[in-house]
Amino acid sequence: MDVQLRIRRYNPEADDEPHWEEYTVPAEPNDRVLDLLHHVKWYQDGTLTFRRSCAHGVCGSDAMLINGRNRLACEYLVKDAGPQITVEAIRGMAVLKDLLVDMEPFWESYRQVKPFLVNDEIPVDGKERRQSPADRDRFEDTSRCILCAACTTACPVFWADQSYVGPAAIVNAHRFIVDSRDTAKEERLQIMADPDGVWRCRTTFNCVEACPRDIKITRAILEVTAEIGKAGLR
Amino acid sequence: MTTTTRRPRTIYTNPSRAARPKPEASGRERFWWYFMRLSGLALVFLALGHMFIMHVLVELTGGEIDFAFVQSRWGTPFWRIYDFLLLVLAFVHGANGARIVIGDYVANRTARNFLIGSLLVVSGIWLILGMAVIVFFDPNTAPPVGPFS
Repeated sequence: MDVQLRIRRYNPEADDEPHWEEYTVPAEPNDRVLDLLHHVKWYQDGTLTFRRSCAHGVCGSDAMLINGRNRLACEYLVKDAGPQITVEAIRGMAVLKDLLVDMEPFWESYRQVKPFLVNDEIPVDGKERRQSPADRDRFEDTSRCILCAACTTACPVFWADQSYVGPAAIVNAHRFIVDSRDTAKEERLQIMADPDGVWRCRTTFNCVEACPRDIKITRAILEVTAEIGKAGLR
Repeated sequence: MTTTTRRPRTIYTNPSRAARPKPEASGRERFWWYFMRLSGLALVFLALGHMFIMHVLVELTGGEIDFAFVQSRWGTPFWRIYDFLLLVLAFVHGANGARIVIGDYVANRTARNFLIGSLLVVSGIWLILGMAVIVFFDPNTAPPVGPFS
């Protein structure tokens, strides 16, 4: 079968505005949208620019707006997308070229929540910090984030104002806030309770719909608000 | 390598979180966050009840919304409290929603403060007028006489 592929192209050295271009691409039902993009780049127009690395839904580099929703191009199959497919860059960030965006605002928010275990104390047995299975389960869901930015760039609050910390950074703060081994909980909660933190969430569930890992992001956000209350931060 | 400088497609309203002042917990935003959710829930019932009475029940019983109708309803404290709650919750919910939208879309600090300030003044005056009508309404007065009566 042939698929009609519409891609929103933008070349900063030639175009003033982005524009749509159409490609006819041969495809099997089990091909992924990423395969179609590869076909265009390898056989039709080598200037097409996009990110991808592992191509198997793990590295999180090929999040795109496909048929109106944020998805990973390497996970979305032609048989699910249909014979007409539109592909755009994820929204809310500066488009550098075609489907490639400047991820820096996303990484800045991510870095700010200190996404690493903070614990300077020596473990009781001198070797490892033990944790009960129940404590481990508390961050099972949020530890599966692959940082593809599909959630944050699906968020209408983030579209309007990139100073909002965004769902991905909240998910990654949650992963350490509820970790019983971590000692920087207070500091992370301060960032979360900032006027640009969790309180800007409007609970629209766009992030939950967009997440390719099916992380219950809104639940994580609610758990962070509850932790702010428990910590006695106002 | 060419060094063409072109403006990015998206102008970030705030390019750097790192350059911002230290994050601070905000009790105010926390209050509004919970207020919006709780008042929203209450308004589902209050507003639907209001719609049902004013636009369905009145039609079905062949009644008319006139001074006598208001007189009979606001003769009981229950409907006064009902309408008072509806007015205050809907108004504050709406005004705070508008404040948040302004905060999202107006990046210029002066313009934002001006808009939010104006919103506060205008909605404050309207809210007080509405509350005054409900609180001071006297069901024993005669219907008003004027060009619209």
